Parts: sequence; structure tokens; C-alpha cells
Amino acid sequence: MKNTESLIDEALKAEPPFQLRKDFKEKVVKAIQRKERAGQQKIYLWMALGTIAIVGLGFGIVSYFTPSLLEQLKNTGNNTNQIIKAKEQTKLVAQAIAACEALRK
Amino acid sequence: MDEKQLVQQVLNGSESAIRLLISKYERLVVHMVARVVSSDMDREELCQDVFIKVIEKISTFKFDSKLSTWIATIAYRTSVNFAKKKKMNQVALDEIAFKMGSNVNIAEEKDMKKFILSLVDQLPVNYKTVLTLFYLDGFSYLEIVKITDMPEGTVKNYIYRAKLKLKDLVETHAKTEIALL
Repeated sequence: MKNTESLIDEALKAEPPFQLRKDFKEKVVKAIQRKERAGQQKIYLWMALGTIAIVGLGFGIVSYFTPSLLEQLKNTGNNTNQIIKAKEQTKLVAQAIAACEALRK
Repeated sequence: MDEKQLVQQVLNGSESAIRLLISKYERLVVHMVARVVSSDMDREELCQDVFIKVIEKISTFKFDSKLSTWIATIAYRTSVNFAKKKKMNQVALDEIAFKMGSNVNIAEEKDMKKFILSLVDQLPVNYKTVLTLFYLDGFSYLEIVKITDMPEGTVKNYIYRAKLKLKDLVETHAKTEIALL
């Protein structure tokens, strides 16, 4: 029988019995792809949040320093509504006139 | 394909290069992980973690050492962190109460090697990892210093003390067995 030291050396050099599964490489490749996709989604999310933050900040700055500009914009909206209403009323009047003329004939 | 080409192809995102890198270095990673962790499921998971880290960090590899040394460093750190998290073998070498087991036929070389490996499994993590790097993977002292970040004296001391302890335990056990016969 060999001496203790050489037995210890040989035991320490012995391969462990554990082996990785055959599909291990595929598992790693897929895990890396999953991580990359998750990373990209994170970037898109941050970009969207950044855009919203910039727009919000811009709106806040404008409304703080030039509130009149926003009121003008609001009024522009009101004016547009009034124009649309007036146009609809004109149409109705024109239709009524056309109906009266048809009756007269 | 040499190391530089392999690293370059992995950096370019080639899946076949990733597979080749895994086949080339899986033994090295398995050696480290299998010595530290006992459950096969944890071993597989840890090996996967090591390779994912290797692929993710490969852009930081500057060829100032062999690729195997760099991968062994990642495997070592991942395994040691896992052991710390699970609070495995944190006691000092002299404080361990080694379980000797029974039914060891001291005349059978195979039985004796199994018995020695069961003792190695009970060693503190740092001792086990240093022994694995030195005996199983054939790294030099300087490479082990680089991998483990331990001083060279500590590495040599760990190997010397671990072997001395193993020798002492094996001889004590053999004497007891002979006395029983």
C-alpha cells in the first residue's frame, strides 16, 4: 500500500464526481439572452420616464415664468370652440332658410 | 482559436463562442464549485452564475493574466460568497470536529481515497479552495495569490497545514482501525 502522503496527493487530484447536465451550455446562453432583453427593457423604461419628466419639467417652467402664455393657449382653445359652434349655427340657419324657401315654392 | 480570438468573438455576441468558452473552462469552474458546495442543484446554479458573470464582465479582461486565472478568480469569489451566505465551514481548522465515519477499509486504496475526500469536504472553505486550485487545477502559488487575493505565505501555509491535518487524521484513523482488528 502507498504511503499516506501520496494517497492524500492522489485523492486531492481526483476529479469530483459531479458533472453538469448536457443542456448546460444552452441554459447559460438562454439566461444571458434573457438578461440582455431585461436590460434593454429597463433602458426603454428609463427613456420613457426621462421623456415624461422633461416634458413635465418644461411645462412646469413655462407655467411658472409665463402663466399668461398658458391662459392665451386656453383662450385659443375657447376661441376655436366658439368658431366651431358659430359654424354649426350658420349651417343650421342656412338649412332653415333652405327649408322655408322650399315651402314657399 | 486562441484566447484573444475567443474573447473577441464572445464580445461580438457569438453564441458558438460562448458555448466554446463554456466547454473549455467548465471543468475549472466545476472543480471549484463542487468542492465548496455539496448540493447538485446549488452546484449547477452556481456554475451558471459564474459563466454569466464571465460573459458579462469579459470586456474588463485585459489579458494581464491567463483567461483561466481570470475565470478561476470569478469562480472562487462566487463560491466563497455563496459559502459565506450559507454560513458554511466558517470555523478555524483546529476547531473542527472531523466526522471520521465507519466502514473504511484501510487496506483498500479506493476506500482510503474516498475517506480522505470526505475529510477534505469538512475543511474550512479557504483551505478547500486553495487545495483545489493547487492540486486539481495545477495553478502555481503566484496564480493562486492572484485568484484568491491572499498573501503567498498564507497560501503556502494553508496547503501545508491542510495536508498535515489530513495526514494526521488518516494515520490516527488507520491506527484505530488496526487496534480494533
